[in-house]
Amino acid sequence: MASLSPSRQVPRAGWLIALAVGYYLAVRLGLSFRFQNSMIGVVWIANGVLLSALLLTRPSRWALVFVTTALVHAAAVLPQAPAWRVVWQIGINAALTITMALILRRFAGLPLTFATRRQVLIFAAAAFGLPALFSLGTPVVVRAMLNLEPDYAFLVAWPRVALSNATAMLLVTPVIVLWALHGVHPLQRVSARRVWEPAVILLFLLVVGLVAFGTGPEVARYPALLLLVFPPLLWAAVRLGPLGASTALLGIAALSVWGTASRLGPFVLFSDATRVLSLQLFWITMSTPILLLAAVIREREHAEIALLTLRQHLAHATRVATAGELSGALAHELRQPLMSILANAEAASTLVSSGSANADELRAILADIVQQNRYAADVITRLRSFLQEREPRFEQLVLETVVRDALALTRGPLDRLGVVVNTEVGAELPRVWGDSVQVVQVVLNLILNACESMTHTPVDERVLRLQIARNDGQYVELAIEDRGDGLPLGAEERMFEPFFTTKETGLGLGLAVGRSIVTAHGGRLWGEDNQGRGATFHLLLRSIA
Amino acid sequence: MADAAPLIAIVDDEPSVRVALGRLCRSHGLYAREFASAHELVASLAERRPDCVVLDLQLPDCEGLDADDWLRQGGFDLPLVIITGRDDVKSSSESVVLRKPVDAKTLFAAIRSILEAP
Repeated sequence: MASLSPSRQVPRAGWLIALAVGYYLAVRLGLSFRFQNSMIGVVWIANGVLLSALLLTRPSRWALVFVTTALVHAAAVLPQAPAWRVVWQIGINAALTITMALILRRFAGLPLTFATRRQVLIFAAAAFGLPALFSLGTPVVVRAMLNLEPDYAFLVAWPRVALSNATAMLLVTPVIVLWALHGVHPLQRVSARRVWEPAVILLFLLVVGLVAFGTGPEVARYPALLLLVFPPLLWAAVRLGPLGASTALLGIAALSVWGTASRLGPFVLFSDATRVLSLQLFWITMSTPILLLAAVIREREHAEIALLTLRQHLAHATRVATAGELSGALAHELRQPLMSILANAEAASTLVSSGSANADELRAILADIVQQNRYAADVITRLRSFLQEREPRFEQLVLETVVRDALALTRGPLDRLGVVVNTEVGAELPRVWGDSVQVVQVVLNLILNACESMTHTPVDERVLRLQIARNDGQYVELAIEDRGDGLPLGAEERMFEPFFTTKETGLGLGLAVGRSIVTAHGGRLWGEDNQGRGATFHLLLRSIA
Repeated sequence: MADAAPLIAIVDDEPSVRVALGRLCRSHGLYAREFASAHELVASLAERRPDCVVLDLQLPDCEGLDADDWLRQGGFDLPLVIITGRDDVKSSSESVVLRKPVDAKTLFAAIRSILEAP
């Protein structure tokens, strides 16, 4: 989750200067976005900037924000407007933005990432409703109400002021807040391989925007031109998240203002007042669904990540449980080299103290000690890597190596039951894609199941056959055939359901987790009964090209 | 004395353990022979009967029986010192059960108690 960490916070002075400059530009831009015969701006960007500043700072700094913006505001408009009117306007702007910031803090939650439907909907409702309410207190609307404004009737002035504030908040605030939260990190993070997509979307937006808003009024007689902006906007929302979507919206809005101001594009066909109103309505109706779409996509991505993490935890938990079942066998496997090392060392020690040591024999003893030590270390390393919990790491695997690792980990139960393992590996097999730990887990689980099903089989018939072979070019297949009890009738599919088990111990998660791992690998896992001669499990994994 | 030296049979399917135990016995002046399985041991009985058998319990070729039970049921009646890496071995009354890794002192104490038994 993005949040403003102290180290990334711009120092106070720099921050205030940025706010002052940004606010000043916003006021000047807002003043210039007025079409002929219109006193009221199309979009009062300054309030969008002010609201962003409040959302990005702690309430303890709000006084500083208000003092700065009030001074800048006065400096920017005082030559043209009377002082009483400027003070009035500043006061009502402060009341609007502070109410909105408090409501968003309380109900939408900070930081405002626009990554949930809740945040987008609350933001949109507040950005639409509060300006409508607070506009009633602005100088122009109050005076129009009292018939003091010669150019505006109340019912003309009120919606215009309300909509110019609403559009500013809907278009400008998400962009400022999101870029401030993310910084330029998203740009730095984009790898060269993936930079083409934002670039193509940007180009698409520019071309479409220029066609829709930059062509002459003759072409613009086709209102359907406006629909052109949807594909790139939807693309940005789906692929680039709230940050990309809000930035694209602002870009399209800027193009439409530019076109309309240059008397180009579909909006110039209307009279001035209708033109402004239709521009504003166009932005308002477009921005909320686009932001909402970006949020829904983000929510789904988060849900997918949560699901993946959960699956990873489950896979790890079942590995730990399996290791628990194997602990006796593993202890035995470590005791063998320890026994050998101890007996060798004591033999050498006795030979040396009795003076009957022979250099060749001592050398042989020491070589055995070293070798057994390595063997014990391997057992521990294998167990450690099997038990670690880490992000899945997909790499090229040699399936035969995976099978050897799984066999090494299950050596205890295999030896104890006296199972003869026959491994057949096809020639020139391609490597497969997979996470080594998880694939070992699947194979190991299948081997343990096979062992368990052979406990009732006569000792000299306990054979486990492992075949690795190419499967129609795209896959490498591992078939594990046992001579055990076989599968219960109708269990071929049910045994992959969670908590299905025929064993006395065990949770019945092994095969369910195994199948989810294999599916996530793009492979397949299934089992079949061999009609009285045990069962065969097939594991298919994608081969490398 | 030399030709009458007691014979210790070491039966373990794990070559490294078998060889190490053989070395240990010989370094202490005992006469030891190594066998990879209980079957091999039984095959050698006609030649000479060991005075003590150091037996690893986890042997794969005993038809599902533990090796000591298999030897007992075969009626061979051999004096056994059982060493095992397993945790779940019940100690049968007639045999000494030692847990791997066994140090020389413990092992030779067990062997001696068998050799010195009447």
